Amino acid sequence: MKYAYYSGCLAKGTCQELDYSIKSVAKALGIELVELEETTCCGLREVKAVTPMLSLTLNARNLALTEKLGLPLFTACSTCYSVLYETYVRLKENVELLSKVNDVLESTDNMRFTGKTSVKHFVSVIAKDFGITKLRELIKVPFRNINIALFPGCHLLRPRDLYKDQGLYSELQSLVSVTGGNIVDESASKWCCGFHNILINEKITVRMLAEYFKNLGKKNVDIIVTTCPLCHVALDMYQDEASKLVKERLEIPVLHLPQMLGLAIGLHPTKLLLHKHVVPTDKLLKKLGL
Amino acid sequence: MGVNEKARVKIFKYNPETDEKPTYVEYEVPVWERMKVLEVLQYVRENYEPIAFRYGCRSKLCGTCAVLVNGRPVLACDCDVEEYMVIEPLPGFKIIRDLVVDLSPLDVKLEFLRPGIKPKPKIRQIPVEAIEKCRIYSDCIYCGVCMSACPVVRTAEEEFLGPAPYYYIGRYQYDPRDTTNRLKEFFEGGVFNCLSCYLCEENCPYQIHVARLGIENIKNLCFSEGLRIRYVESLLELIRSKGQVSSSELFLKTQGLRAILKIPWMLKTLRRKAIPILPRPPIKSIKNVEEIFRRVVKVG
Repeated sequence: MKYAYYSGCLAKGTCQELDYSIKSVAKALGIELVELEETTCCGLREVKAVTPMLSLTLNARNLALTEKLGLPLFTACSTCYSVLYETYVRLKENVELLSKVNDVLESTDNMRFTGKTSVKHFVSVIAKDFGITKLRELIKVPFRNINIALFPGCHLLRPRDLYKDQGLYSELQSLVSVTGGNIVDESASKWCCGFHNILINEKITVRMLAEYFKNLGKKNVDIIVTTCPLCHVALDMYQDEASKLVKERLEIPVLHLPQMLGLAIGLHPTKLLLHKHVVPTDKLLKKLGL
Repeated sequence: MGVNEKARVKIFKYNPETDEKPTYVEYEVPVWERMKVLEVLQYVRENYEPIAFRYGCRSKLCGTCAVLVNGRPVLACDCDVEEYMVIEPLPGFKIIRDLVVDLSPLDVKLEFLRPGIKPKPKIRQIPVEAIEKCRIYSDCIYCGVCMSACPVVRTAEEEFLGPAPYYYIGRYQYDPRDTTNRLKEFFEGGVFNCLSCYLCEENCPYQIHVARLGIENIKNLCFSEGLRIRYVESLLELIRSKGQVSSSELFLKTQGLRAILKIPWMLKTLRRKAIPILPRPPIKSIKNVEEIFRRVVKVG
């Protein structure tokens, strides 16, 4: 199993623990990752909205660089996944658009996007390509008695018509369940972390987070598990700000899915940089007997 | 749910003039083939006690029967019955009685965007394609479901007009006869506060692309006409000059001097988190990326 790894900007910056834990988990599972070089930021949904053609061209360039390696693209960021996957689908469906984009890419980088690659999220790589059954056999530290709130991130689920029947959410449920944890809250599938407003209007983000934490209420959630680094930034780095609105001291650790799976297959917490979160993860580690 | 089974339904009851707080009353309702939530409400009204709810066409056209079923905003006439249901009024609106809410703020929001057509003086012929472009915006029945699904409207209503007005206005904005300039209103209505979470699209009874065709097109229009926000400009500038974006650079570029106010937060966060502070070097092929920016802006 070999993939071209598109880390996304956050995994190389604010969420380095994600990059670190993906590589640790991939190594432990025997998945080979070839890091993509010379790619650009996907531009999030914002660049796609304000200059759709620029978003398409930059992401077609990212996909063309992947094709050069002859590997499928792999990312663990829900927003990068949504923008790259949408680019892939639109260019495969629209020949006219594809030729317009390729004209630009040929003159700037001397390459074309041909549609030979594919775009995959960490969730489906582990659940489908690696396999739930194989993963089950590797569980060494079960998450028994750990109450989990799932936070998939909007762009893993929506726009729904874009993803059709990919089943990423049920794959995420299976991955979390295979560790033995109890999924006690799934309200985030109908909510948003508000990350995209942090630098536009932080007040909105904090209010949205507060609303989410209020809904978690008395479910005794031990950890929140997310598949998107953007959600992680909001939930972990702004949890204290949200506490002020909820008027209650919140201290719910937020784990990237690769960190959770890493712990479950017996990787040492330092290999997953669990000490690099704003909300401490000590209580969880103690509960797991680590 | 099968026919001849019974559904257990909890309905929100509240009269702001006489009740101190809302109550939930539970009823048992027999289920028949293709039964909808609206019929449940009618059954309760006819067989148990009066409840206030609104409806009109009973066929997903008038948009008056929107309620919240098990936390999901839906049209009662379009929503299938479930075994256990909690039926509540649409959140985010003032309750008039039971399930009836005051939707008039929705009209005020639309009014802000100046609906209607200010036609060009002489129109001889309109090409069919031009009409086709704006026709899609007439699919919206303005039921308010997307407003109740929108997390920004639910938590910071004063910051964003919401998905419904931005989509509905499309029928006038893209009408080839219209000459109204709404750019200032679009911008001031908080269009850039939309998160592109697509909950509006997921909940829309017609699965309209409310965000993609409505809000994102308006963001595009504002941006092309020079009505921009610092965040998007900084993001684009960093991609153009570096390729990859560093969070700290984006933060400083966007916040400017306001970043000083965030120093206590930064210190608290950086104590635990390892965030690279030094600027990121550009990718080696940055000249190619700059050329893409030049070419694509020229192309369109």
